[in-house]
Amino acid sequence: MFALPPPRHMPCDSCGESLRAETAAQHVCDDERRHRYDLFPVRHEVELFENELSAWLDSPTGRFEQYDAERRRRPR
Amino acid sequence: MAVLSVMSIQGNPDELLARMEATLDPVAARKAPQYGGISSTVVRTDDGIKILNLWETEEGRHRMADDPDVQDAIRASGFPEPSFTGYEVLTIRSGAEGAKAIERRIADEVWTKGKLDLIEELIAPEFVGTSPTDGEFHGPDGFRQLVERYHSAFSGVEMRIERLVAEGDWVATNWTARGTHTGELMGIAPTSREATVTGMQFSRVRDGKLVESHGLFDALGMLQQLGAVPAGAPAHA
Repeated sequence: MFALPPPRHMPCDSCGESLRAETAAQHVCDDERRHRYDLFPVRHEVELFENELSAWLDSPTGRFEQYDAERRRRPR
Repeated sequence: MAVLSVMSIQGNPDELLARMEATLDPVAARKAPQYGGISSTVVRTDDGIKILNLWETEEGRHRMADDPDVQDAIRASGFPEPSFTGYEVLTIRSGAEGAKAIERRIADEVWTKGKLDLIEELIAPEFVGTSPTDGEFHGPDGFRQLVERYHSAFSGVEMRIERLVAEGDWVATNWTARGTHTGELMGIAPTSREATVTGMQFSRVRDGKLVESHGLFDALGMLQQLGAVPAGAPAHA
């Protein structure tokens, strides 16, 4: 079976950063980058959720819920 | 600061040149690059020859003149005592340097900084580009579409030139590009993976613009990095 040689760079499986083969073993993922990489496959769902949340927060019910939450958060 | 040294030697120009080729040239070809020699030109004059040597620095010129091997070669040539004049170089323009500058601007400003408005300035209307991956593309519009295709597929594109070699109006470029795959490319859905690819191309320059360019890049490596083609063991887990 013909096997393709690995390229000189490959992305890290955990954070997607391009790593040179010779130094890949020393790589430590950046937390923020890994978080972004993890969220990327669900970015459309996240965007949809954020849009729906914004719309709800702008609705009369959402505005009341924000007012009520703020009122209950304040110390009596 | 570059300097131009002008050395005048009196005598029969043809005999002087023949002696120079037999004695000085082999040593100069070996030593000049060590001391920052850029070019050497010999011209015929009414009473002999002038040798115009371009150096990266004044210090390099003096170190070359003081080199024992060079002094031996001058003695072996039997040349009469030459007269030297040194000049500070204000600008150097050559076709090869101009061609390199255009490739640098395309990499730094167009590909990396995304200044697509410079394409009209750097790409000739009659431009033809070819590559096995991207086919044939024509003129500034074709080049712009090529850049836009990769910029829409990769964010944060950086193109770095590794090597540039120019001769006459041709320039050979070896580059490395990096970017994060955040848009569709060749039917491959975005992966957020970062890819690094190398490539090279030969381009021809006329009147300060690219008129043709023929390139290859590691498309297989790019597809492996994007997970579209198997690539053996992962780099990191």
